[in-house]
Amino acid sequence: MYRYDEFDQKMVTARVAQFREQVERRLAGALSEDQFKPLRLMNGVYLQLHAYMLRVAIPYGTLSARQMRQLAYIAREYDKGYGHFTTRQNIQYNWVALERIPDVLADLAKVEMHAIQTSGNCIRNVTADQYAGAVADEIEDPRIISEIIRQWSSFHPEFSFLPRKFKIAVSGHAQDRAAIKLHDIGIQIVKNAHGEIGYEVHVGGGQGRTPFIAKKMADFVPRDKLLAYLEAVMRVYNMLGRRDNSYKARIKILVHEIGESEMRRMIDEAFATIDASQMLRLPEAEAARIRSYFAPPDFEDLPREEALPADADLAHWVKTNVVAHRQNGYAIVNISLKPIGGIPGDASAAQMEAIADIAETYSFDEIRVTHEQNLVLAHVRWSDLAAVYEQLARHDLATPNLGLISDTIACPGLDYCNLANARSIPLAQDISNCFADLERQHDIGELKIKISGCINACGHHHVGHIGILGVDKKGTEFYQISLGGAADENAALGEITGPAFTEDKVVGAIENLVATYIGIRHDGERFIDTYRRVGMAVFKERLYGE
Amino acid sequence: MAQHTSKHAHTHAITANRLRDGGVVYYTAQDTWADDFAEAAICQSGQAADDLLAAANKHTAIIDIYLFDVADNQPSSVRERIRAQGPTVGFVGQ
Repeated sequence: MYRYDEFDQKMVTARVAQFREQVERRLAGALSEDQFKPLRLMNGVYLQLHAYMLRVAIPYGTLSARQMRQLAYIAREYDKGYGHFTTRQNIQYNWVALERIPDVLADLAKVEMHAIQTSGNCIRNVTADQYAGAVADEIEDPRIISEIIRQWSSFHPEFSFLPRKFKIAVSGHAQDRAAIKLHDIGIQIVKNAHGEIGYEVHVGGGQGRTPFIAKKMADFVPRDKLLAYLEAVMRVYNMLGRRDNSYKARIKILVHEIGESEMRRMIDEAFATIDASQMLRLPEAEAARIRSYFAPPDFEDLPREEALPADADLAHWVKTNVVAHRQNGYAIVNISLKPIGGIPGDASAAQMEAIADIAETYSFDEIRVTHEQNLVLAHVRWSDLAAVYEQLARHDLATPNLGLISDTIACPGLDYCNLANARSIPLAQDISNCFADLERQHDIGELKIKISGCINACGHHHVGHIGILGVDKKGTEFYQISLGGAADENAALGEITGPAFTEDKVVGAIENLVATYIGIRHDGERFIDTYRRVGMAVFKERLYGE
Repeated sequence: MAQHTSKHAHTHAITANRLRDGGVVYYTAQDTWADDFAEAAICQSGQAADDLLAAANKHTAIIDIYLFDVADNQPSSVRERIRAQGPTVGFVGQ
């Protein structure tokens, strides 16, 4: 894992002191709310429906056990005893008092964490594949370049006041688990014909009220030139992105309005200038230093193991939540934060501490957060799976539902969010309870339901195999359903089925869609495969009787 | 400022968040702020609402102050009912 150097620690500590003073001045009345709001947003502090919310950055979703324990401590000491892991691999606390937030930030700084650039119109936390460094056939661990991007983008003076927020995701594997094509910039690590590693760069993806799949801007940016290329993209966006209308200010709108080829031409032009200056050529020594932080852990030389355990529950969990590791004798363990009827992404302080203990004992002291709001232990010995399962199960963390219908992404929705029009969490719970029978879930197979409580799409509804969008109609919650979305390497935006449903009709509609799929699926077809084969009409007919 | 009133509604109350901790509060007829919606001053649309809002806005330790619709002595919208009663979902681990 990356460890702070003296500059990182100094910057974070200074920022805590600065914010403490700003909070004191605000509470004393020396700063107005208009003056204070941009300052608190720069430190990840939002005002939500019931309280302040603090968003804490987890760079590329990687945490140590010590950091996870500190997150648990903060949940217990400053909040209501839990935290919410988000689709950007961060954690949010929903009930922190403003007057105590400087203390929270100081406690975070003790374990090399912060909330800087988790809000505001700047480059946000860089996200990456949760199986980084663990999965077979990976071209390179995406956290290496993610850390380099983090350092380049932290407090970057030119990009601190962008037209809108800016999100970057990185994948080092052909199978995209980081939803890179739904980001402002998506980076796919590739290898060219000469065996050299470089970057395929996608620009202009995003969800929200105007969703777009990113356009491929570059097939192969050499390793030492990526920062120059990213700087070129940012410079074009910063110059031309709209600042008159926040709904049209994201880079996806710019790419759409000026067109892919013009965008590419301008980026290439800016890139030529920046690259010629050699200011942003990444020195190999520095790249090697950062790479060394992500060197593979000290794996034992073990025989290959893949036989399922005899115990039926354990075997079920291994089959569903455990993924093959690149190293013989090891496995990748997914921890579901979606117990049946639970709140997607929420973990109690006790659960966080249990996970920290397990990671420390069984997974080289490391935990990952996934953009699907689950956690991962990336390097567990196959022979330790039974012990890990037993300890996870004791804390309600071993639901074997990864990728199944109850493994829903849901935003906080109207239960917490100031922007939401409708609730998301109760719907996720209702769907989970309706399909509680795990045998039934396994029979249905992979089915990704994603729920957003408003058009800002924090619950990724545009890219759900089944997407659900909450809307407000004269004070009543309605839910619009879409089908056919995907966030992987075959990224696609869902198509709306038709008129929205009232809250009490949504679960029935989902059951109807599932029954339709089961009735017409071919052998081995997932829901999304069947949808792609037959299209919308048959599902629509069953939903609306047309 | 956020607007949470509709032109068809005639009865309103004023809500906001406490600066110190962000907690939901309601403006009372005694020129104070209460945690409980039941203590909120209820007013009619028009001048009475404008006057009440102007008085509420004089308080500095309170933020995001706005009028919202009330019907049958309850907040009209789902949003304001949730603000008054808290999240409709439980907390993990409790």
